[in-house]
Amino acid sequence: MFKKILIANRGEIACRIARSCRRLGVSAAGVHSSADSEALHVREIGQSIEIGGAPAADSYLRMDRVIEAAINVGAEGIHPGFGFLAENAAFARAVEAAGLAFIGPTPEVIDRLGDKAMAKREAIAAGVPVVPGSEGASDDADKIASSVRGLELPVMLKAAAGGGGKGMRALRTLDGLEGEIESAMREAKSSFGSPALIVEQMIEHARHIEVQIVGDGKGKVIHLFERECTLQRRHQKLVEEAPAAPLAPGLRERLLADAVRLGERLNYRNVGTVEFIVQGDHYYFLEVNPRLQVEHPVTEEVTGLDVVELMLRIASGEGLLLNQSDVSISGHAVETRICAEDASANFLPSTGVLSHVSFPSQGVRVETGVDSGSEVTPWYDPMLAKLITHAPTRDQALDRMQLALNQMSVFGVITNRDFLKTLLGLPETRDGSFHTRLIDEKMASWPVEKGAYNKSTLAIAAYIWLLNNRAEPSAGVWSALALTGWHMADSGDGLSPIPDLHLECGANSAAIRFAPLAADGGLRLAVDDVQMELNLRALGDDSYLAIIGSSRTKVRVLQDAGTIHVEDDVGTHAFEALPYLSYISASNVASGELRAPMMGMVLKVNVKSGDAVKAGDVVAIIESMKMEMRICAEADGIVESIHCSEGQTVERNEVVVRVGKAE
Amino acid sequence: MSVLSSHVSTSSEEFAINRAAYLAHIAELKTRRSAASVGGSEKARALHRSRGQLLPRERISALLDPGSPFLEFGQMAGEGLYEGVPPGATVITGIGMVHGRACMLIVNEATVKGGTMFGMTTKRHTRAQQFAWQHRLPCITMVQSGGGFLPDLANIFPDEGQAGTIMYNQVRMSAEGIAQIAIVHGPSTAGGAYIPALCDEVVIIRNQGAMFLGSPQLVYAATKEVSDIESLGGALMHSTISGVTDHLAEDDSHALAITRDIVARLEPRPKLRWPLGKAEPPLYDPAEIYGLFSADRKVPNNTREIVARLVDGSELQEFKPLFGETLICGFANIHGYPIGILASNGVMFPESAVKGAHFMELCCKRDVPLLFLVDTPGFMVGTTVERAGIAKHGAKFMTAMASANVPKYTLITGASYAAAYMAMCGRGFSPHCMMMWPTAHAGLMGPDQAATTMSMVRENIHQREGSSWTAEERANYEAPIRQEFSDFVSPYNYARNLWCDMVIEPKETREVMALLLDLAGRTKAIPTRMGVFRM
Repeated sequence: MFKKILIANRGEIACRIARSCRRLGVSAAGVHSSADSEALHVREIGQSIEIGGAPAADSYLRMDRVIEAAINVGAEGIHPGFGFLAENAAFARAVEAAGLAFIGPTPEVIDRLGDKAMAKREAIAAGVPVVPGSEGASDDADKIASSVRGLELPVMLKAAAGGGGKGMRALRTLDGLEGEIESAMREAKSSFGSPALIVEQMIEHARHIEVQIVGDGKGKVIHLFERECTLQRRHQKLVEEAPAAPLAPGLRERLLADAVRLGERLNYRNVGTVEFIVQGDHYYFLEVNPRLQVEHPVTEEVTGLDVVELMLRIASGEGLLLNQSDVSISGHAVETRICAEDASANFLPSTGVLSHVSFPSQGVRVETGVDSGSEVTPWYDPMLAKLITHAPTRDQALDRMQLALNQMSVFGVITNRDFLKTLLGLPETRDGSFHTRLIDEKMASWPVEKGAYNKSTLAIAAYIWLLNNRAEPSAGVWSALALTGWHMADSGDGLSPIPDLHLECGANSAAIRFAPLAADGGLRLAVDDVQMELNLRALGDDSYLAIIGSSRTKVRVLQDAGTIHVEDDVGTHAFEALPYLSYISASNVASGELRAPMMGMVLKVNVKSGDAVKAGDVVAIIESMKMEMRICAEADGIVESIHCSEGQTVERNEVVVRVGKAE
Repeated sequence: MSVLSSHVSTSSEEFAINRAAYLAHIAELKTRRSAASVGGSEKARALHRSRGQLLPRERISALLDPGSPFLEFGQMAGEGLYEGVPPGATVITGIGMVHGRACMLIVNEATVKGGTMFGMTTKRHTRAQQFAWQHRLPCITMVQSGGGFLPDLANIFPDEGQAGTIMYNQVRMSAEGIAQIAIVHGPSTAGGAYIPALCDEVVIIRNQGAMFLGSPQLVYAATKEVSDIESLGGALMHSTISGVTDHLAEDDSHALAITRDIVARLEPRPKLRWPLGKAEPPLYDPAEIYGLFSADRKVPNNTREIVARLVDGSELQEFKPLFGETLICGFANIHGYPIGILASNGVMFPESAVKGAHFMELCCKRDVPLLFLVDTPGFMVGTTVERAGIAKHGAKFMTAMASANVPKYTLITGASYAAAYMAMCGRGFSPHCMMMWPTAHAGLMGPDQAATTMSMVRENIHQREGSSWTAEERANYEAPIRQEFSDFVSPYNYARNLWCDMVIEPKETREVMALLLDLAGRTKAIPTRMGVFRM
């Protein structure tokens, strides 16, 4: 076994590899970019070398620096994790040339599998069924077009050098075919360096099943059973499970046998995944991923094996001691990928500082690359963590996952958690009648609306704001919690005559008015025109028991500067808290009249009527008393009119520009 | 410390009767407060809003810190005294927190008669100033007033305690470093213009606020000069040309935001001069006072039962519990603040008076504020007590009470008559705050006594003249006297005339006291020098 390895990755997978190392007594060192210097994986691994700037191309993709780091820390091998350099044959070669072990397949195999057309030929040679399509990759647009015409629609165009769902497009009509091909080639060229495409029959309403294989590179190949990764959005896996949901009789055995046979043909070393698409009792070879997969934990859960350990043992020369007969599975495992992306905004990545991260600790395996205080930058993959549940049956594993998703909370970015909950609840998911295009086809009809909060969510946020904005309690009875909002009661409702606060979420805004806090901590408040009574009992760790009427719900609430994060039974929400005066000035700013501060000559006018300006933008410059005076917009808005021109002399207090409210 | 134990049965019939009677009092109190808090007519309020202005109480809410308490003074001033003027006398005065500093807010109620000032308006204004001065509270005056109500000139203009005193107080407070800030929300004319002008800092609102010594009409009448409000005394003119005002705001909210910024730069709140104990609720629910406070005025109340529901943990360290029992004296805490309580427990006797004087001396030496809980028909009369020297003992009590420089608070819970009204720190003795429960009744004598006394005088005349009157005639004679005295002794009569600062209910008493004590506790202690005690 290795004495020490370098983990050339970041996030949860770096942490996860380090964990196996610790268990096996292998020292580990990591690498990080300048953007990741405070990242969890740096702290978890314990030793890490900064290898460059924030863009992956300057750091995690820099082979030279990674290898140099490995040599400097005294590592004997490099584990590439997944993504970045994991499927880069040149890297694998360079690692081996540096006298280090590449913990993965041989460079030759990576090369052979990296080209989809070549991989397909290997599959055909191994007697594995493949999707009908072009013989090989081509960068000849005419040839590609004729291949498309030779197949039944729909047809798929794939970048030969692509992977992970990137560089694919479906053709459902021959209209505009040439344009589609051209743009697919352009995309392939810019994304993967080569414009070559392969053309394939598109197998619709199919499932994605993959087989985990392990080889010793000396001819021995076994499988660790299959995984189901059918729930995908635009070819990105979201939910994975092992074993597969029910399959046609005999199908699993055929898949497993074919995968092993292909592995044997490749004399496969280390771990890999043979991917298939399955439609009824037909299946077709898709590709082989020569690396550790994101979803490997589900295989580990059902087999009881540590896939990373197998990788380390094979790469260190111990070989594959495991025989096929040693591998069996029990129960069912499900994995979900928690990503920082906004399902209601076309899965736009969401970035920011995570003011709070917590995952349930019981009944669920958590693979996380972040913790409270971590920053999610736009530089890397938006996946924050994976949750894995394991139970005797598939239904139970799915149920546990639903619960785990309910119990987790991440404040600071928008996550896909609520979207995952929707996915797990689909009847197609529960009964296994799903297919890989299900999400893309059905999503439009799901109510994944932003701000699916209700009045009690707002009330909870408002309550916390009120508590947090009381002066420090040591200051005496005037700022004592017990006298919050105290005034002499009359026969009215006791609510403040003005909205004390506005809570904003996107374009929505709610006005909050408070009545005095009752002695038991109960608070009556109005959310817009709806009055409610609420009490919050602190449970520690930002958790509270929210008592509204007869219901008691555990919620998590955290104020981070002006943002209040609430996690309740309907989801995770972030509200901007605007106290009355700031709300008024934010929504109803000044007069919009920008005036000359003193008499002078207009040097420059930077805006014209109709321009959008932001608060602080310099709209004009006036020269006076040998000074250049800048006239700035007081608030965001649209320039309504200009009342001066360059070279003109203006009087003190003369209006020079008028800014109106933005729509 | 000794804990007071309660022996009240909350399930008795008497408790239920008392409670029902007290709840009726509270319902009346709340109705009266609501009438005071609405402001002007719906039409006047709508007009005010239509100008883009906040209502006076909205201004207060917006100015105060989130969750700040607001302690209003003189809420029912002028109730029923001026036609078409709701309780409050066209001004709102009260204390709230701005940037963690307790401030006195004095706000014209512009939706009532345009914020015109009446006699009670100036009285409420100066009373608020007096409290602010005594407690060194920054004053924030929100000006929007049409000036004095001419028919009430006698009560506004010539005397001490009227408009001139408002200005005098401003200057003297400013001299003592108590910040004077004004927001000019609307017109302030003539003398009214001096209220903001005499402030340390003035915020004025564009196209709304205006200040001039003479209105455009008056200017025309006097000099034939034609002018308009904006050119004569508009916000822009005063902010750019005359320099009368310091900050130009675009609207009410902007002005309030500027004012908050001004207050944020004032000196921080002084430290409390007393050690603050742990605030604990009483062992017995203050709401039980409703059921144990006798609905029948002839049945005396058990004061210890009431005190047990007002002080922290129901703990009272009694002084001389076995001597002069008709006055209970003892040390306690309210919301953690120390207090020396003098609570009537019947008629004042010579021993009660001497005990009280002794206790007040203790409190002055130890810097413990005093709370007078008043429910007494008066001092005992008769030869026995006169021969015992009740006059000199009562005088000792009054000397101690009037000399005491510790903060003093008076809460009339029940009866307060004649010399006892005076001795138990009546308004004439300038308590820091004078409060009454809805069950309070105070006067020279009670309605029955007054009616009886007067008809006895009449009876004597009849006897002298040899005439007589029937029982019915006598009853008819007594009825209006009874009514007049009954009206007089009402707490709302005291509130309307600002003879008391507030009518509060038992359940609020702890909070009001704690808020008041906190304010007083942030001023410097003034040593007490006692007057001559008649021995």
